[in-house]
Amino acid sequence: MEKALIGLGAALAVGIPALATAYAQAKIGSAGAATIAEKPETAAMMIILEALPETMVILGFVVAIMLILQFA
Amino acid sequence: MIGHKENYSYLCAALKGRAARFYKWEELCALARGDFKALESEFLEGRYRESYRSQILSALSSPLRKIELSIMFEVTKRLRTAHSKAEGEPYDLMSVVLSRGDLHNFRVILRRFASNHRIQTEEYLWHLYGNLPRKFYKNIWDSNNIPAAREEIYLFDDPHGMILDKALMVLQNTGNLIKAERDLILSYINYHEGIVSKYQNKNGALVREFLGRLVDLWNINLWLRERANIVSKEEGLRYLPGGAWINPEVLAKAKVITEAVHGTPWRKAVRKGGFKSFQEFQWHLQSEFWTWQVSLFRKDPLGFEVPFGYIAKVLVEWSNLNIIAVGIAFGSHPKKITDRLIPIK
Repeated sequence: MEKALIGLGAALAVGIPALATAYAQAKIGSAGAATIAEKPETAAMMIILEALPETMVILGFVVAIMLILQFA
Repeated sequence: MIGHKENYSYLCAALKGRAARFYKWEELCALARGDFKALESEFLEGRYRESYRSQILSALSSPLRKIELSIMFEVTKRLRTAHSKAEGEPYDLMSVVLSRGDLHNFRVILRRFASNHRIQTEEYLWHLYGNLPRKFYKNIWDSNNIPAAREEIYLFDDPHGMILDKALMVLQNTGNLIKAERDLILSYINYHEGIVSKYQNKNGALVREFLGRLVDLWNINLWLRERANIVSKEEGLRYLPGGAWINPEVLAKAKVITEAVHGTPWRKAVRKGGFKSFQEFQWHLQSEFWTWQVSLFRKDPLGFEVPFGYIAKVLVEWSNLNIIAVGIAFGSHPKKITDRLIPIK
């Protein structure tokens, strides 16, 4: 039972930030496409902005690993 | 996250990316201070060069007319391009806001039939970013009388055209332009509120406020016309329902306009305008209406504020460039020209 709860906690730690990241990247991606179409010189900035929400999943992933290593 | 289909993130970013294409206030003032040759060279090399150059090649009209036509074509192109980028909710809401072009044309047509005056030599500069094409307006403009114009509307068979038909019917039956205009605004608002009612969110509310402010403007103008004795109270014209800020009952009882606009955004126009003249006050009201719309461009970057503000910015630039072109062509003093511009600072 305890192992199952740890597994669920780890899954939520990755899953919820992944959904939030997906939503943010969808918005930033479409806005970035439009911005680059109008101003091609902003391409580098748009790639950085597109990658920023990725940090949420990475942090969630780290938390999940910590949970598993701590209690498994 | 889940709701109507929309592409605000793409649309708003695309329109924000076009913000640098607008003339700044200082540039407009510099144009107003120059002569007609300077204005022509700006059009030849500046932001409107593409449409101006095509006018030079194709049109046989006067230099002023060429400038007016090139602004009209460029504005129409910009607005149609912006509209084509929208999908779902923003597309529908933009259709409603852009239909103000149809409303403008309808009012011109009503005046043409009310006064039976028609410019024979050159076609009117239609606002063609709305829902109806140039052919529709041209056919109606060329009609000899109201029944012939209404026949053209039926032949065209478009629901937007029916808005004009109702107003033309009132004009035909009563001969009263203001009554016909009242009916026009009422049909226009009712038709478009039907479209906006699908969107019970803040974007829909913004467009409803726009429609409500149009009603406010008409009601205040009627109040002013009554006070200036341009319209008599005996004509039985009632204030339109559904205004955004002005309560028709309060307006009907108001002895001075400040009573009716107290606590509303229109009070700024009263403060700025004073009561020098009827036209002056109307200009301040219109200017206030445009300033509000333009200010939305900098609001919510994922909402309808950006496309709404963009449309207003394009139309304000059209108006300002036209004022400058006509002002310079008729030899007006630069100060007088800049005083008539809608502020975009």
